[in-house]
Amino acid sequence: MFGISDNDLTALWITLKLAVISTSILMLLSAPLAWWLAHTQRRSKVIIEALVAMPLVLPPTVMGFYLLVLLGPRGAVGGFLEDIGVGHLAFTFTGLVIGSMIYSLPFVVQPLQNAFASAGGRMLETAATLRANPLDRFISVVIPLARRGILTAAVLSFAHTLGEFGMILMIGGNIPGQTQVASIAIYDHVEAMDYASAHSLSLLLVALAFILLMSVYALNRRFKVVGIG
Amino acid sequence: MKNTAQLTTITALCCTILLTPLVAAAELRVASAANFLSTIKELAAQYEDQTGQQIRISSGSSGALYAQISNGAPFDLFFSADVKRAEALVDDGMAYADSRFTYALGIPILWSDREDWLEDPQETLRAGDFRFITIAEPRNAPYGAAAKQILSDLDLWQRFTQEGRIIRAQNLTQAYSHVASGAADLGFLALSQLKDKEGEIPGSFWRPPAELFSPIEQQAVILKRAEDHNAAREFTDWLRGDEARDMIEQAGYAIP
Repeated sequence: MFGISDNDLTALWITLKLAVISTSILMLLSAPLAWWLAHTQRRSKVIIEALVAMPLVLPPTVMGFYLLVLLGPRGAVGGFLEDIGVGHLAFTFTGLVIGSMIYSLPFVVQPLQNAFASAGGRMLETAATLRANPLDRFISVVIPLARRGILTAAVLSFAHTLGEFGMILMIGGNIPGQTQVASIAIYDHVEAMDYASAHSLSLLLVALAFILLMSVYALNRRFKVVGIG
Repeated sequence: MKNTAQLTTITALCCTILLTPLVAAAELRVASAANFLSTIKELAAQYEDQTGQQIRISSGSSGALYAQISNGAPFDLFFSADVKRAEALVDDGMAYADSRFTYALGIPILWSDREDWLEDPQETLRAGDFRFITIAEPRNAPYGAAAKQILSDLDLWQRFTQEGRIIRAQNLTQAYSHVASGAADLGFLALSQLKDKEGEIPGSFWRPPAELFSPIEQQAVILKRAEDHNAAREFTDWLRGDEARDMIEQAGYAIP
């Protein structure tokens, strides 16, 4: 394409890979949590809700800093991994996946929680009286009813990871081919006064984001972004 | 005649009184590359003590400061970490060509916070008995470019790049935090970053011989939008003097 180097294409590829992997894992892990939050009567759930919403409020530098401390060789997680001979997670793709999952957590849990809250009730009880087992009830009743919320969660998480910058700057290490994502590559181009390359890659991201969002809207014309919070 | 003389005296006095606060208040606004920040602060404090001239210092990466200045940021002086950006401002017509001078030569060092790590530095590097080595992004940071040259001269750049061991920090401060946090085992940093007040360096380090890299010339320019051009000249003249040169050398730079 116009003036896009192999290195920039690699960065773009890593960005997409990161978005797909972290969104997929996050969706799977968040579903039970969102379900619990949607249906529990316990007062203590406000603590969990507050924790889930934290990444919305915290600057990426705070998360990047603590993740570096946590995942690095002297942190609880990184130190443990060093001890068992796996090696710490700072500057690794796995580290980025973990970071992105924390970073996008509220963007997944909150739409899911809203969707699940409205997907319970009468239909679910009816399915239960018809002897549908819990898994069957979830797959044939809840998922279709919560479809919009699920789609919203996935798209928001994906898009949010695509635009991630500050945290990756701190824990990524900017290794070409491994942890150098598109946003960092663009930043480097700008700092190096290589505006042509910055433009090419930025425009590609703009186009990508637009096509991505538009196809989602086209796929489901009734698709509406469920409000966050 | 007498009246005229009195009038002149009074006018002169009034002008002096009126202008004095203005002159005293015209502080020099300095934009400094982050690696020179602590040194320029000490220099400025010394200069303020001696002359009463007020100096206000902002810092950032040379690239970011260059962009700010190009877009009209109100600075009188720019201390870049390289030649390129000082030169670019002259070429853009934003700085005085005759004001450009090298105020310091950077000294890159390879550093580990472990005491025993770098007894035989080249061997440590060749053995590759470490996981990550951090450098400042070579395209943007002169110390990073020097690090790349040094590793290339030792025939290690290609290998480390392929093995994904080279971390590219945005700047030297970030590179320092990588090594200090233990996330990177080694890092190419600036001597000026690591020298403490007593001139000691914690951990262990290697100062690569000068023939392995091209000199890291750090240049300053006076910007054309300087409010008080003379004050800026006087300060840069003072920086070329022995006292300032000694202070710069103490801080971990070589003197041109």
